[in-house]
Amino acid sequence: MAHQAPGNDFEALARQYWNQWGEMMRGAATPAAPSMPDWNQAAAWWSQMARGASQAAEAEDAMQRFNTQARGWFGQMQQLAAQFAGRNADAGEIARSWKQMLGGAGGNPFADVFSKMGGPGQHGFDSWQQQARPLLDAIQAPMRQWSQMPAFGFAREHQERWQALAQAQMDAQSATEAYQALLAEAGQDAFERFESKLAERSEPGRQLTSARALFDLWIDAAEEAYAEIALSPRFRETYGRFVNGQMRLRAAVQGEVEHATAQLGMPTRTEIDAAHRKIVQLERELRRLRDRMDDGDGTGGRSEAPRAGRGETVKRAAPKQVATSERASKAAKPALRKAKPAAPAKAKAKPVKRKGKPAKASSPRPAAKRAAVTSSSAPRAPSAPAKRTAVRKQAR
Amino acid sequence: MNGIDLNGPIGFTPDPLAQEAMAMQAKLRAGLETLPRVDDVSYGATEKEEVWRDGKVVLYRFRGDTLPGGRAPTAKVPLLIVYALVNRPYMVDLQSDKSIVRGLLERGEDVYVLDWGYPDRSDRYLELDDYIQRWIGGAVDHLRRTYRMDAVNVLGICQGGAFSLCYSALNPAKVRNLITMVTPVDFHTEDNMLSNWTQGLDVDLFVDTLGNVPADLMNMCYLTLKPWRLFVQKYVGLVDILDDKAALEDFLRMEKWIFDSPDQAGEAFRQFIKQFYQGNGFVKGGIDIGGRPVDLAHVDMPVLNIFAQQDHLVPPSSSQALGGLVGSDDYSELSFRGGHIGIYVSGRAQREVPQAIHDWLAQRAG
Repeated sequence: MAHQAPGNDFEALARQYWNQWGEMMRGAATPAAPSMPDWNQAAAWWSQMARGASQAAEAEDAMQRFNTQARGWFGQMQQLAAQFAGRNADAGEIARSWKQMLGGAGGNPFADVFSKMGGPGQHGFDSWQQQARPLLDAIQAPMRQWSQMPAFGFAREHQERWQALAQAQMDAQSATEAYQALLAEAGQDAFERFESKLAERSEPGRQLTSARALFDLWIDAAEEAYAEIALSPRFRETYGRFVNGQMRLRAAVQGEVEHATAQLGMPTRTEIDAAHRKIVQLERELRRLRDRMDDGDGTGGRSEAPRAGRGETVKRAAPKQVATSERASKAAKPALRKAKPAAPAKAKAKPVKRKGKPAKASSPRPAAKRAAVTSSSAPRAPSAPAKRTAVRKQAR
Repeated sequence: MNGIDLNGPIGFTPDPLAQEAMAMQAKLRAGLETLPRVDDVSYGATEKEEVWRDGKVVLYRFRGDTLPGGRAPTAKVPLLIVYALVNRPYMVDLQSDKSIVRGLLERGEDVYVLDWGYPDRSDRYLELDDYIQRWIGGAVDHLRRTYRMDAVNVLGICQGGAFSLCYSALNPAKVRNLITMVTPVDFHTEDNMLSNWTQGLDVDLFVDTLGNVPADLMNMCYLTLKPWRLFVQKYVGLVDILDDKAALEDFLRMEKWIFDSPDQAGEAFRQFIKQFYQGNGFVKGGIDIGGRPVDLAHVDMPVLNIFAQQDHLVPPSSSQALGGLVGSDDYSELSFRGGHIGIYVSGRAQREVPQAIHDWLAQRAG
C-alpha cells in the first residue's frame, strides 16, 4: 500500500526535483526556455498518497478538489513562470504565452474550470447530462425518425411527446452553446486584463516576485472579466435560457421514465408528489383547526397573547433569568455612535449608523422607541399603535 | 535578483522560483505527516439542549453555563437566532474561537437557535408560511410562554434575516428588538450577481422539474459566483497550511460547513425566488406569506442592521436598503469590514460583532 512508506517515496521524488531544478538553472542563461520540473506529476502523485491519509471525510474531498483544479492550473502557471524567469519579457509576451498555453483564441478557461466542478455522485448540470446520455442516445433514433412527421393515428400522443423531447434536446444544446460562448468571451477578456495587470506590474518596485504572485494576478484578471459578464443583461438572458433549456429537457426525460415505469405497474414520482401534497395540505388544515380550538376566539392562531401552541416542548426546568446590574453597567458605555441618516451607498467610515434618537442606557425602553409609539409624526409609517391594530385586523 | 537587473513584470530568476517550488514541495511532504493526524472535524463548539421541536425543526438553547467560567445569562430577554435554509446554522458556533454564539453567551445573552433540519421529498410542498409563521412563530411563542413575556429578541442571518423581517412585519408585537445580519433586502441592486441570474429563470419549470432543489445545484451556483477564487485559488492556498494541523482542521471544518447544505423545499424555493429575487417584494411590495401581505413599514421595533462591506452574496447596498423601508424610528447599522463568511468566523468578527450586538441590546434592555 502506498501509504506505508510515503516519506521515502517523497524524498526520492524531491531529489529528482532538485536535480531537475539544477538542470533548469544551468540552462537559464541559454536562449532556449528551460524545462520546468513537473509540478503536475508531483502533485498528482502526492494527491494519490494523501488520499485516505486522514480519517476526516472532508480531507478526502479537499484533496479531490485540489487534485482536479488547483494542481493543474498552478502547474501551468509554474511552467509560465519558468519560461520567463530571469528574462526581460514584456507584459504582452507573457500574456500571449499564457493564452497559447490555455488554447489560444479558441481557449475557454472558464468552461474548463466549470466542467471540473462536479464530482462523483454530485447533482449538477453537466453530470445530469452525462447520466441521461444513455437514455437520450437510445431514443434519439426514433426521435429523428418522427421529429418531422405530422402526428396522427393511434400513436399520435406518443409521437407528439417524443417530438417535444427532441425539440427540448435541441433547444438545450443550443442554449448550452450560447452559454459556453459567453464563458469563452469572458476568457478572452481575462487574457486582455491579465496583460494590463502585468503591464501595471512592470514598474520597478511593483514587479512580481514569485510564481504564486503571477498566479494570483491571473485569478484577479479572470474574476474581474467574469464579474463584468456575469452581471450583464446578456448573461442574465443566456443563463436563464441555459437553465430553462436543461429543465425542459429533464422534464421531458422524466416524463418518458414515468411513462415506462407506469407500464410496469410501478409508482411514479408524480403520484408520490401528489400524495405528499395531500399530506401537507391536510397537516396545514389540521394545524389551523387546532389553533382555532386552542385560541377559542377564531383568530386562526394569530392571537397576540402567549398560548399553548404548536410544536413539542421539551420538558425541562425553566431557564434561569438572572437580572443583575451588570448589564446596566455595561450599557452605560454605548458602543453605537450617533450618525447621520443612512446614505446607503456611502456608509463605510463609521461602523455604526443610526436614525432616530439614540437610547440612553439607563432607559428601560429606548427614547426614540417611546416617541414612535406615542407620536404620530413617525416617518414613512403610521404610528405604532395604529399599525399594530391594522396588523391584528389583517390577522383576523 | 542574483545580480540580474530585470525589466518587465517578472521580477524573479530561476533560483527564487526553484526555492518557491521546493517550499511547496516541503509543504506537500509535511502534509503527508499532518493529514493522518487530522481527525474527523467536529463542529458546534458550545453545548446546547433541545427545548422545542415541530417536525424536523428544532429549537436549541445554548448553555452558557457550560463554558469555562460560565454563568447563567444576565439578559432578561432571550435572543433567537434564525439562520438561512441554504446552509446549516452551526456556522454561528463553528468552533470555540470562531463562535458568535460564544461571544454572546460570554456577555450574558441568553441565546437560542432554530435548526431547520434537512428537508426530504416529503417536504417539497412546504411554503414560506410554514417556515415563517409556523416555525419561527412556533419558536417565538415557545419562548414567550417560557419567559412569560410578550416579545423576544430576534437575530436573523442572511435568508433567515429576510424571514425574520417578514415575521416581524407580520407579528410586530412579538419581536422586542430585531437584528438583521448580512440580510438581503433590495434584491435588485446592480451589484447583485445572484439576483441577475435569477431574473431569467423559469422558477415554475425549475421546481416542477426538480421537486426539491438539490443542495449540489445550490452549491454549484454559489461557487460559480467567483469560480476562480472559490474553486482554484482556494485549493492552491491549501498547500500553505498543510504543515499546520490546527489550520488544516479549521480549513476542513469550513469545507464541511460550505458543502453540508440541505436540499431546498421546492415550494418555499419557488416563492422565495419569485417574491424576493424576481419581485423584489420588500421594496416593491407583493410578498405574501400565508395570505398576508408583508410591509416593512410594520417593522416598528428597534432594528440593528449588520452588513459586510465585502459581501459577494449579499452586497451592502442590498442590506442597507432596509433603513429606508422599516417603520422603526430606532434603526442602526453596523458596517463590518469583511465578507459574507468572515462576519461569522474572522478574528475581527469575534471581537466586534458579539460586542456590538450585546451593547445595542443592552441599551434597549428594560
